[in-house]
Amino acid sequence: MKNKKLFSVIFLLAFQLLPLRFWVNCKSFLDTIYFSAYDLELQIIDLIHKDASVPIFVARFFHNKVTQFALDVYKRYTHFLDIGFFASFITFVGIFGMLLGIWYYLNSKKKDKRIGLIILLSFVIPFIEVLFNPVLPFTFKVILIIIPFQVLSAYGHYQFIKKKRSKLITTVYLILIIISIIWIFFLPDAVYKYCII
Amino acid sequence: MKIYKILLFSILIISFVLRFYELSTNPPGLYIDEVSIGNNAYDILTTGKDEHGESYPLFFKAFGEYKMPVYVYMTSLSIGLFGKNELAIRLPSALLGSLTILVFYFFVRKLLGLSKEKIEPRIEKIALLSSFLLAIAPWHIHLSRGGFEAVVALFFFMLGFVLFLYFFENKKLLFIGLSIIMFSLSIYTYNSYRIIAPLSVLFLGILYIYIHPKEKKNILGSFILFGVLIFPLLLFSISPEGSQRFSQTSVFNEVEANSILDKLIQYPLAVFRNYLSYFSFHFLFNTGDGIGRHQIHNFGPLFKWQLPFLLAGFFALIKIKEKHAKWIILFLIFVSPLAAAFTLPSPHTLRSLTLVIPFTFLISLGLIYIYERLYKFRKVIFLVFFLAVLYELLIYRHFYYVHYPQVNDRDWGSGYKEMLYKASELGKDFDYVIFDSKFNSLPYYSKFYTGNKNPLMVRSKWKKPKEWRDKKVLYVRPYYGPDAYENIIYEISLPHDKSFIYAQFWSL
Repeated sequence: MKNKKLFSVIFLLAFQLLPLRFWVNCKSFLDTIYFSAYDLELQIIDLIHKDASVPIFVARFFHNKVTQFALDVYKRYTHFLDIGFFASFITFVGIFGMLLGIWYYLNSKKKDKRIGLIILLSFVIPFIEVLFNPVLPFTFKVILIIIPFQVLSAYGHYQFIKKKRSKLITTVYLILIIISIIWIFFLPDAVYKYCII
Repeated sequence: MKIYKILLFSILIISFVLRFYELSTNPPGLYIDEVSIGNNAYDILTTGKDEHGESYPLFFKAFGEYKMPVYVYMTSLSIGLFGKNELAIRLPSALLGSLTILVFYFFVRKLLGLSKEKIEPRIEKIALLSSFLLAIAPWHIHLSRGGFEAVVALFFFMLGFVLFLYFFENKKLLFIGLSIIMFSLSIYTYNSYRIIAPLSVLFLGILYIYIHPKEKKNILGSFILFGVLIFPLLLFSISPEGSQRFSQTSVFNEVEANSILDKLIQYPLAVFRNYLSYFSFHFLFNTGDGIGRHQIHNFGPLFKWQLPFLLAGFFALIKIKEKHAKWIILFLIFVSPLAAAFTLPSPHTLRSLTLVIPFTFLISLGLIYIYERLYKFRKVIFLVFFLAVLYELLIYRHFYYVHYPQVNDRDWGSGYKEMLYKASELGKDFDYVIFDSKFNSLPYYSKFYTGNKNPLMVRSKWKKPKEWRDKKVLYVRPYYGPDAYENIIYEISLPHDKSFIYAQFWSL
């Protein structure tokens, strides 16, 4: 019985890797995803120019490096939190697994620190990508980003399969798999919205 | 109890100030749909006919897209009170937008306090926080300040919901009757509610029967009343005129599908893809839909600080004890972008305005949830929250009043008013005043600002004909680059962008 559950989780994780077929064609994420100090300078200059009618201290209160940096990084980072991005990266099955993972972690009385760390990494790794754009092969970067997502969703799937009735499990996953297949194979441009080929 | 009333009153004051301050001048100008509403409303007020000569129409032909009637009739009232100007056109939206905050307060209070003998302080807090967050929500403030029918429709829609919830509790027929009227009014105000409102009535009806299985009669009666009220719209919807707007904006126009099988896959996929776009964090917190009239550049419909609380709110919602509240909020999240998902462009901030309601509720729920979980650190949380809210609100306000008029003035038809007034003033010394056809919306603006619905229009870079050589002509045209300047007698720039020459007045 336990083996059956494990096999189901492995099958789902393997399914979640299907979109990688498209991602390996990419050279990099879109430029808009990456933070640029030069671009930040230009943004601040442009914003201050529009403040000709207000006192300079007011202009600097709103348009300074700290504020603009925070706004700019936030803007770029939210690309990674986009539901369209996740759907094209780890499929709807993966999104469901990740949400379940977070749900079961937050609801568990005795928190597993390893899962907490995985959740943290899921959010931190894209942040590092946005901020530093490390010089690494793109495929390696994709794998690096996908690992915590996969682990988190594996935890979520396993808990769900362990706790719910098999009829419900089959129905939910069947629907998600069908939607994911249609999304991946009929909308490959959904992937290329986030990367450069 | 008294303190809650004082707080609610303060929130209402804030909502009115944020929606009415400099309403006539910012947004800068009137955009073409506002002008169309203004022209039709003025004609109705003065002649009883619309601009196409139809007496008190139920649907206004306007540009051929057929506008819903409620906003136009409301505007004719405000034009009667305040004259034909920007304030009068935006008044229904700003006024009912501000009052939506009050309705939302009662909605949350009733939603969480349904069938409870006494409203607990926790519920009062969530209701007050929700209404405060809606009062300061960029999504709602921004759209309330334009002549957008969607804001008024949302008011009626929410009022319909609140009245239905009151009916849940006290079973008085008056409430369900009024609720059905409000839902119907929302449909006659904005197109999206043609889908959202009937589904909501159906959902509330089913929920009511689920809770009170023996009382189907009243619900059936309300369905019949609803059917009667929207019957003219149903008839209209199946006519070519009624489906005009949808055929212009339909998502299916851009789907390339030839075979039936292809259509069976591509059509639902296009709708699904559009639907998901409304839950994109990039859309919600950063860019909005990219249409300059709908939000400030680099601001999404929601504040950036709200993201973690929105997520926490989802979590809190699943754990909430009040089951009906959970279902109603989940239903609102599901149904709000539904109509918009069938249209392009997508996402569209205006067509999905209803989403602001469940999202604001979730954010306040998330805030309370985190506050309660981290009660030990409540002072720090409160301080961080207060500073974050204040700073982003101040930035928003700064962008709205300083940057927005400069960056987005052309989205709002800015310049037409100044040009037409100047042409009227200078034109007194000329035999003819003619306008370049590049000002393609000019007839509508001219009718609104000067009463002249047929200004003389000529093709671009027009030359004076020989037969007019004895006539003095004032030719108003856009700036086409450096030219023979001796004939130019005046130039106007955009009110908020002095570097851009909007129109040149040529004496020929």
